Amino acid sequence: MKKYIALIKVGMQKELMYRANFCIGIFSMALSFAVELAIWSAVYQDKAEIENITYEGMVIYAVMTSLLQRFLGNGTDEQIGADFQSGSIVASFLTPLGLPMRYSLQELGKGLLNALALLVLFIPYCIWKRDILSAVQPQQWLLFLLAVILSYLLFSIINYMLGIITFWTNSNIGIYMLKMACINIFSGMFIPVAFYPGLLKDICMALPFQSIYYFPLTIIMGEARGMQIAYGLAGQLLWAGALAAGCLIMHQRAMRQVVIQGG
Amino acid sequence: MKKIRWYLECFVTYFKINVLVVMEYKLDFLAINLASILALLVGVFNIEIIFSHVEAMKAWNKDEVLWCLGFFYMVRAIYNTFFINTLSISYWVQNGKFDLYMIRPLNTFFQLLSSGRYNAEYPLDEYLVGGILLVKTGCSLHLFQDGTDWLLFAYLLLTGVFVYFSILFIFSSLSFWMVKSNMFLVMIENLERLAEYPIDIYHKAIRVAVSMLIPIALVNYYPTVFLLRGRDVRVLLFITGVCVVLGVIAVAVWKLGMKAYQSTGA
Repeated sequence: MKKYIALIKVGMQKELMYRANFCIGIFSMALSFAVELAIWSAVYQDKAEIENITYEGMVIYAVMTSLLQRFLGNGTDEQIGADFQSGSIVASFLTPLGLPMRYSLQELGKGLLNALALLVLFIPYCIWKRDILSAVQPQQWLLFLLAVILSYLLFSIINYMLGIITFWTNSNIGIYMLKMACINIFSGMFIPVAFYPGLLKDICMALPFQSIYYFPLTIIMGEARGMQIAYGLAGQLLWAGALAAGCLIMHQRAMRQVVIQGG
Repeated sequence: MKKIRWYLECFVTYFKINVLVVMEYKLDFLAINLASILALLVGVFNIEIIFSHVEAMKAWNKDEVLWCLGFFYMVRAIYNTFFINTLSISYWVQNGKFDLYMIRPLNTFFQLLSSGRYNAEYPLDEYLVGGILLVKTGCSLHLFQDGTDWLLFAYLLLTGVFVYFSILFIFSSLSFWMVKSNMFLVMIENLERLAEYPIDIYHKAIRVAVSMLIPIALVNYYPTVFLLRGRDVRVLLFITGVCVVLGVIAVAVWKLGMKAYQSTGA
């Protein structure tokens, strides 16, 4: 356990190494939060609710989606790809800790730090809008937390899988960009999936991305209730299980045929 | 005249090399292009989805907002083709390679423009998506009826590219003094998100900031206002004035920066 906490700390320290970048990351998130709020207040100008989502629900959505994005981060796959290309991944093979743990836990430290920093920034806003947030029930918070933990697990597995694809393709910038584009469209992190037109909504539901981003948000917005939450959680578990199995097979194959470049 | 042709030939040769570098990893090249088209379409998607639930956002209808976005993509496409490599000043200064540019027989600024892979990587998809958007919404908004429309459009596109280039170039040139100035560029990238929508929807402070302080709204918002909202000559004068000011600042910063540059050693 101790070594895992140490890894999380290393992740945090690495993130703080470039303070200016860290601050700008937070600033950019705050900016896109402002954009999001401006768009929604323009949209809700003369409407009480759209697709059963009220303006208050949208405010909660905007706050929570920013935090969630910051917490999940961009994934470990880019780092794995870069380390593979420079050859420095060999250092990770020599340490007694497994490759997945090493990368994922550092990423977790990074995500925790970023989410906390943004949370501090949001506190004044949340106090100002406290009547909206106080409408959320305690059990909603608990379920949300559970869903977020599962999201994180699912997201880490996907990223690790995409990361070790580099062992075959030698470069994964393209795959990384493709992943980000898919997340932008199919995850429902900018616009709730409930607003999507029929076909697009069906595609979203068939992919794991909405399970990572949108599903936890539906709990906190009060969109999903009772059985819907149960189904959503089951969906997350199912995706995580299936991908973990696939990831394990890929991991074993990758370890057998990895070629270390450079020195 | 001979010199210009020589420079053009050089630019083409440099460009060919850049294309080769970008296509080094075949699968990556395809994936990057697909991803960047998708990334551009996200902006369109979001607007489509929002307008499937409302008719107008602060007096802007769907076609007008899409036109604004398409104009922005077009400006960025042209910028990326010719000027994006100037963003690497910080990189060249950091590893000392800027010295190379200064001692080669070609103009320093020209070399800065033409070497670097990025001008081969990004623009294609932006021309495609931006062009389709402009043609599609331009038809339904009844633009391009006569020659003046085309002339004004071309002029505004030109000023848009110039404003966009000047802002980024000024911040990029700061690396002559600060060595690491990437953070400003990341910040500008984030400010671009504001430009995807007509700035009317934002708070007044933000509106002033993006039209005066860092005039990113001049890239697409004011041209759109001018073309679609009654051709007010004052808007045109405002854009031209800001262009002149930005141009003077950009040249001054570049000249001073070249003087202040100290080699960091390779």
